[in-house]
Amino acid sequence: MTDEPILMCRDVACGYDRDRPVLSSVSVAVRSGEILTILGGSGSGKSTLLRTLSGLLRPLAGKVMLFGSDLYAVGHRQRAELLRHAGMLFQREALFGSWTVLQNVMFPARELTDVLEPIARELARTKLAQLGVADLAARHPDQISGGQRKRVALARALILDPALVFCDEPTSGLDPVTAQLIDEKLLFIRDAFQIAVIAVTHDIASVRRIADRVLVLAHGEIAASGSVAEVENSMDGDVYALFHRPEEHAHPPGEGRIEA
Amino acid sequence: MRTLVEHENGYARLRLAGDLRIAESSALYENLLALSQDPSTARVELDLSGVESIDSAGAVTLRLGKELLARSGKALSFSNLSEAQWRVLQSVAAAELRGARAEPAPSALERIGERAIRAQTNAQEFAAVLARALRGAGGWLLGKESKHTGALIEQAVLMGANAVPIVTLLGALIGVVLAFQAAYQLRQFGAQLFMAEVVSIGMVREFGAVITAVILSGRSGAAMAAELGTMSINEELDALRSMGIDPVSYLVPPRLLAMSLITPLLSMWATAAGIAGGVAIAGGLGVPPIAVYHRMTDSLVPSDFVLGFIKSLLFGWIIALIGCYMGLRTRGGAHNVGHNTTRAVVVSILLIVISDSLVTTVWTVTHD
Repeated sequence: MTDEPILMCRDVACGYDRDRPVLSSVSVAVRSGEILTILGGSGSGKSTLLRTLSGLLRPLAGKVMLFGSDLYAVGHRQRAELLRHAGMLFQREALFGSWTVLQNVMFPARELTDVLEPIARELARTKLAQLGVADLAARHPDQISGGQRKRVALARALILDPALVFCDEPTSGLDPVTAQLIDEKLLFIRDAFQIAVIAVTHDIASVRRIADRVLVLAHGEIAASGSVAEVENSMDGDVYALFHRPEEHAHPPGEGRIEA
Repeated sequence: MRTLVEHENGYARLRLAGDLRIAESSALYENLLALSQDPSTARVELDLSGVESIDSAGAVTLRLGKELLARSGKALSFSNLSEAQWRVLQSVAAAELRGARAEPAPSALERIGERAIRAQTNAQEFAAVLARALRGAGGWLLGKESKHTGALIEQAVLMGANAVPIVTLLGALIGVVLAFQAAYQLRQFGAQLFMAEVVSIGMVREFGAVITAVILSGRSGAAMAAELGTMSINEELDALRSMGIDPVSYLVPPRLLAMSLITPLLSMWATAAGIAGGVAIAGGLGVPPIAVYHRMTDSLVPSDFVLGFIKSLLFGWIIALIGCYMGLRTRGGAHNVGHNTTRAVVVSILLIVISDSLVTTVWTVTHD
């Protein structure tokens, strides 16, 4: 992990209405090889913050610095160039339904680089293989399961070796075993390629498995931040409630739950 | 990336310097491809001592190059690999690619067999939808579904009332075109007045129903296919099934009955618009409009209207059934909605033209 943040923002306000920001005074810094999870209840602004950090939603105030450049101050072309070094895993995968899995994964390499077709094809197969879904290359997204689609979408996000991957609810709608598999893949890309990950989630088990740092959102601001242990022991009522919901007590640690 | 190639007695040494990333990988691939085709080269060594960084695309290119040379019976070795470079190469190692190759394409015979099976399945599915839709429509007509009358009215307004302006415009323009073409041909015999028969009989027996059906298949048929297709991929049809409601019996009858109601009405309206267009243009062609009008009323007999009505009813059923069937059989994602919507329009228009030919032939043989 290097000290220089890949992504940094300070006192950012984000939302869709200048008079009613969803979040304000948000400061975040993410370094290479670090997994930051953004946690919060429904409507707390997790996805809004992720869209702001990933260049999809202009902040109402403040700056988002990606690779040292202000993401929203640079021109369209420069922003596209900056975002080329970041991948995005959408909550509903956003795979192109009329293409095969292989064509989906190849797409960024084909469109954004001049790489030869055989290399792009082999690169896509390699990324699929790294995520354990190489045998699905010829299928269409509607012919594979939700967990497989997540892994294919992650392969597409990783094809250009990004330094940073944004993940919007990477384990939502998945069974615990598949959710753990996705988490393992996120840990794999962090450990093998030193890729930084910013993951929005409401899955506490997932946070415990993968997070190096946690950011908890509540009431339009950051309610807590730090390591999992630090945040888990926060005295803030909302943060405490997130980590200590009844179902979290339903089973003692390690019992009835699949551990990473 | 800079590449220095040294050749010596069938041995080629490539010294690479700089970055080996996606932008540089194509040049390296072409170099290795050329060496694999060069008969004087038996062995290749890649010296990576000057390489500062390798990304996945670079590593994949090295692996592809090794495979290329191996296929030509040549060996590729790497020298001066750093620990970091070795790790990147390991991450794309061929051993991980089990099952990654594309499945072989089916043979021509297999494709023919698959199509035959698919055609049979489609025919069975359509027959099942048709049977359930007719049974459901029968229930509606017998008043068993009176609580859903609102749905029928909604569909009729959506498909019928909103289509009146476009049907009027196209009907009138068809009447104008018919009048022009007929008058132009008949003028050679001094019989322009007979354009009245061409317009009136043509519109009543043929064009009123056909032009309305073509508009409705592009407008309402496509809308039905897209709506039901979207419902299908959003699992709304499964939601109905889970509640014990048959989606076909619930969704198709109101659309079928609405089309049965509005297609004849719109066809009559299009016919009237076409005749009005023909009469209006007659003055410009040197034929008194009042004389044209009288010839029209004299030439038309009740069976002309019956034929037009039968056709419009039949076309309405085709549009509704094909639109609903294509929507109900949609699976997968958004692209299938678009695909099936297009198919609904194409198949509907095809069947409209085929059935029009058949009905006209049978009617002409039996009645005229």
